[in-house]
Amino acid sequence: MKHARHPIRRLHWPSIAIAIAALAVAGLFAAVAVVGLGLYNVSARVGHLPGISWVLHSTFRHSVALRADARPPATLDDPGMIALGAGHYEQACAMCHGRPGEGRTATGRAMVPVPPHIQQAAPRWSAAELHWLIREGVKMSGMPHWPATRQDDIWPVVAFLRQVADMDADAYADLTGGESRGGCRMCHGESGVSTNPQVPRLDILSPDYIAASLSAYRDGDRDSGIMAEAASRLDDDAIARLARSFGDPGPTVGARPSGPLVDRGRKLASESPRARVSSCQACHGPWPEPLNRGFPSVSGQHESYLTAQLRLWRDGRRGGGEMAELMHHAARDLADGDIAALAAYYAARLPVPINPAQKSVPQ
Amino acid sequence: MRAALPFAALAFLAGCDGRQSVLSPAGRDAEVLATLFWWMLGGAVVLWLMVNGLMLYASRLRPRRHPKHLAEWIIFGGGVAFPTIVLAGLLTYALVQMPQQRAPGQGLTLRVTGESWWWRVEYWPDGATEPVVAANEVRLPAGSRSEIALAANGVIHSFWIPALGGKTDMIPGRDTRMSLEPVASGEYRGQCAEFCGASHAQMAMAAVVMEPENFQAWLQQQAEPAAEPATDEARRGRGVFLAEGCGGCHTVRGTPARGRVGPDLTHLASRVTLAAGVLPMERQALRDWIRDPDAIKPGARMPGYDHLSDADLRALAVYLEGLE
Repeated sequence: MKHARHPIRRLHWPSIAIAIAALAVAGLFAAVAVVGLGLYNVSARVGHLPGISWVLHSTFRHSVALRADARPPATLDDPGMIALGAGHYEQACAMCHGRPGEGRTATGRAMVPVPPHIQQAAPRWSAAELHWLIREGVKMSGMPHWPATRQDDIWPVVAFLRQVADMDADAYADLTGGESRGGCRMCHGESGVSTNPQVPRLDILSPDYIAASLSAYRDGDRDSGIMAEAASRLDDDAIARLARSFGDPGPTVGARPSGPLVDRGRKLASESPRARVSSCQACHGPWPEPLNRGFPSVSGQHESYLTAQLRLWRDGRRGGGEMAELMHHAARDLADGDIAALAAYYAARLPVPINPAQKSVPQ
Repeated sequence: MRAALPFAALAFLAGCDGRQSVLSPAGRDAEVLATLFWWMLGGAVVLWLMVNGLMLYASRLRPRRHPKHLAEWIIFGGGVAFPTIVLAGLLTYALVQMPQQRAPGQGLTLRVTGESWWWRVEYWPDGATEPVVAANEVRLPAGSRSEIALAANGVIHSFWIPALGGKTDMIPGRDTRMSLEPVASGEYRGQCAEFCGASHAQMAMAAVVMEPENFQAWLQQQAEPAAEPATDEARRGRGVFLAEGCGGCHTVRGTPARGRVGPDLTHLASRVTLAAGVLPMERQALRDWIRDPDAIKPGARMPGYDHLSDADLRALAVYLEGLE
């Protein structure tokens, strides 16, 4: 037909614009009403509308699978790693996810979404996914992120979670210290003599150093998710009390390891060869004069702990008290081989406090 | 304004006098270099006047057509032949001087290592089996040629005491050498002359030329262990020094402190400067330096001891200023 026009030409554009604007204004009013007047019911008892749970949970699973990319260390099956992870789990996670062989608490089960029991949840994820979940947490679910920026101390928890599915209550109690469950001794052992090579022994440290370390953990000056959790509940009085509660190192029996690595470490620690590395002994002993009690003794400390800490120092990621700068300067030129030798040397020494004759006189 | 310019230039020339100047030589090598400089300057002035004079002559004084052979002589003679002769003469003169600058030293050898940013100095008298270790200051006997062995730790530096001689680069992994024969006793200043990092400009040194018998006495004194603290406060300072880990990097001979990362402090207070030519050797400067070295020498390897109490810091400074 001669006068036929394309249908779209017959739309009245100003009317459409007015309709869209009206809808936008209505939407804005609705949003203000929901947010500002509280029309949406946030009650956990009411729960989600049908289908919403499925959408949220699928989003969550796929989001984790897409992002989990951390490479697990070779030590995931190490019993010390598993025990350290169990200790942290007991402190920070058990209240929601339950313990092996026990049900979840009534309060935990009343959460929305309900935190799964750990023995059901852990086997569903790979090690990298568990690492991501613990590190990042999950938005709007009650699952917190790791309370530190450092990430390597998440792996002990992953190591524990990989074993948790088949664990019974007795095995878990063994790992978490039985009666001393929850306190310092759970991980650091009776009188601070930790038998777990992943956990430092405290009996060789001065009260000054222990107090400074606990304050640094609590205040975020030293980076560790595990110790941040442990120290976050302590006030200054509690720190002062705990710092004095670890005794002198007891007599140590048995042959101490020796060998070329230990000899190399001894040379490095005493002589600063090649004028490159500061002599460790001038601060950490053995030293013929009284040392500042704020310096930690490392004689007899666990080798794997010393290695991990020296690497953190060298890489500039180890915080601490007001003297941390000294150690940043001292460690910055250490090669991996130097670190291995120094850790072997100090681990092979008899455990002694910083000023052996003065330990029993707290200041 | 224009009339003031020459006076301003004169004011700048005043900087050519003094402790760190090629133009006031105090050593044989520096004298040769200063003479060479004046000859070079003379040659350059003659060349400049000649070339510009010819140009002025051809373009302003006689701005007309010149006969062909005269024009060719002006261009070839003034532009090619004359500069070639003058420059070749100066080059020959300079080349003849060079071997002398590398003459082997006799008697004393200094081994100087460039660190970031200070100088490790070892004195090896003839026949010595171990060196007398010092730092951040070079002392030389007047009237004899001392051998100077140079090395560097980490990055390139360059050893230069302008009043005594030329400069020589210090290169990691490679030994370089030079020699110096000072003639006039006195106190001069050296400076790292190769960019070596954040505090390159703060890497200087005092250079002290002494009469030979004074030098011998000084060297013997430097070989001694450190003085025992004389007062209660100094003794307290020694305790602070040994308790705070200073010995991890520094040596004070006669104490357990045997570190080799930083300068040997056995006779620290006998030096005229602190922190490699940057601060005067005074108590307040010692305190400022120990509290925050990075503020004075950015990037310095030494950590700040700002956790020390004022009393401890003061005692430490008193102890150190007793290490003469």
